[in-house]
Amino acid sequence: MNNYDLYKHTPVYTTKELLDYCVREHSEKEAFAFQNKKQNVSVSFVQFRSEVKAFGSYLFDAGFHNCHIAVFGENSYEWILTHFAVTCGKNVIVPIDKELDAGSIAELLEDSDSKLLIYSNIYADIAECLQTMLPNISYINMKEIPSLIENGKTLLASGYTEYIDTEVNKNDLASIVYTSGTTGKCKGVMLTHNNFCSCMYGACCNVLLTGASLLVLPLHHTFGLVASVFAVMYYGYPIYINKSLKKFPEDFKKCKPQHLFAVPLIVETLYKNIWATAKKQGKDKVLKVLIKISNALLKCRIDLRKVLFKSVISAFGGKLDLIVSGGAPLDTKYIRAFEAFGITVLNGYGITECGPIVAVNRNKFNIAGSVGLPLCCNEVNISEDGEVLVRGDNVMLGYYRNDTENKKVFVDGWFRTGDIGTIDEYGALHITGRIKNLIILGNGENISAESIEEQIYTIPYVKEAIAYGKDNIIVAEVYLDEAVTDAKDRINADIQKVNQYLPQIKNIGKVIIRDTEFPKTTTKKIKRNYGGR
Amino acid sequence: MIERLTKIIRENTDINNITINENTALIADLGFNSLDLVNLACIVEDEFDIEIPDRAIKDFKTVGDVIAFIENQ
Repeated sequence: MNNYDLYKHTPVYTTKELLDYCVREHSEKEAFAFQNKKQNVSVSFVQFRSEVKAFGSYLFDAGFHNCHIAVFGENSYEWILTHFAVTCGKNVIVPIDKELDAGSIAELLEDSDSKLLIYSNIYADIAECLQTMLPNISYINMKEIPSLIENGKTLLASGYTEYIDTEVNKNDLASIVYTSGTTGKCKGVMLTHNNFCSCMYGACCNVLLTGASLLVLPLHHTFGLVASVFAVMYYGYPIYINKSLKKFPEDFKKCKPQHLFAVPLIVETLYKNIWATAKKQGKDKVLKVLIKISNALLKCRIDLRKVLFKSVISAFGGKLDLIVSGGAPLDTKYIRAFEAFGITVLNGYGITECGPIVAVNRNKFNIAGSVGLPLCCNEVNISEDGEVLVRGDNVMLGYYRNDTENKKVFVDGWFRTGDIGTIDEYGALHITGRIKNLIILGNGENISAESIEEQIYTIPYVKEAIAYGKDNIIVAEVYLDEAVTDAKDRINADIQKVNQYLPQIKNIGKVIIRDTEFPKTTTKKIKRNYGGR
Repeated sequence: MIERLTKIIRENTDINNITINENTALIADLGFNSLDLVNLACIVEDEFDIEIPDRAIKDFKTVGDVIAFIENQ
């Protein structure tokens, strides 16, 4: 297997240029498809830009320019429209995680200096709380967007050009994206237009897309936005917007995607579902035999996978041929398993601070166990202590109003990722560990270990504790006060009580009780990556 | 209700040797991940002919939480 030339594209540097490029190259082709009140809706690139211009003009005319605007809600066409309407007018978008409670959102709105929150109607009750907590911020319910677009169109028809004439430069700040800090406090990652666009361009140079995709990743995560939206738009293929994971199987059949951008948990779940369905139908043994036959035929360069596994692939709409996985480590067994069915899985690596994609495998140069070749927009280096360092157009400006953290993460122009890795003889990156105390679950959620440990320590007889992720669950490993004789009997029940106070995504799934203290560093801190783990 | 939900969980997972009651934690005791919870919600929707909003799923921490939601419909 040899590497080959990068896929060629015309570079764009801002989201406004991306939108203009899409209209120029793909014009009336379908850009987005989704369900609205049980009706199928299709939006072309031309219509999308027209609505971006109209909504953006409305926002400008309402006084929202040179400001930070937050967006909050489930994946939707309105969410994507908001992102473009804000950034194409040189405003800064602040995507908010829809899983957060009102108090946490209020903190982010204040920290980011947001002047307006555009929220989905599903979260109207939270917006109502926020209006009481932060009355100086303006609020727009997304259900009003269609009428605001009409207002914007009227403005444009009357000759209002302030919004569409706004010049956006590649180094302008486009977004502040909040990411879990290792100490529990979220950090606002400042990403410019060029951070996003160079990352998208680099990813498209590594990976060839050839058809429609199903959008399932949450849009407030940059991987979801840059890979599932920007890159697919750039290639000019339709994006089917999945609004709820409950509709995932149904949407697969309706949309018949060729591609899926996913996190490992989704890949693993799809795989489990294949076998669960086969078992239910009593076809699991036949499937195993077919895989063996198919693999033997492949060695003779005979590819019958589309025929042999038609029923398997039909559960995904029948056309799925590529899954790009990122956000968390993916076990290579899933890559091999899907390959056996004729579906290529490309593993990649990224971090919000790098726009987010740093490296991804290529369609015909997929190196097992690696996260692929670094994108052409960045250089990757490994420090003396093994840390992955990144430098390039996709690397953030810095953390918003957080010089202390900025000083920690930038060294001689390189961004310190906090991950440990190596580069192999092909130039592909391998991630082998982590320096930072973040728990990264299979669904891509980054959780501060300290924020969980803080809760574990509220149990009075816990003397030492660390939290970490294993097999997609959070593990609490504890050393208990030996003077409390029934501590071992009580710990599970007390952890359950702690779970009641923690959000579901931070719930501890397993407790390990140690008989001895944790190994310590010379400064008496617990060694997180001690040999027992 | 607990018997019906226990049956659903057993039929759709490999969980056979854990005693399930209202206090059973979905993540800590049954080892569910976020997608397993979505899957459980879909099955419960079909079985009880109710709709479970995405937002409600994130509040399911124990089997009792799921039962309480169903009973409130």
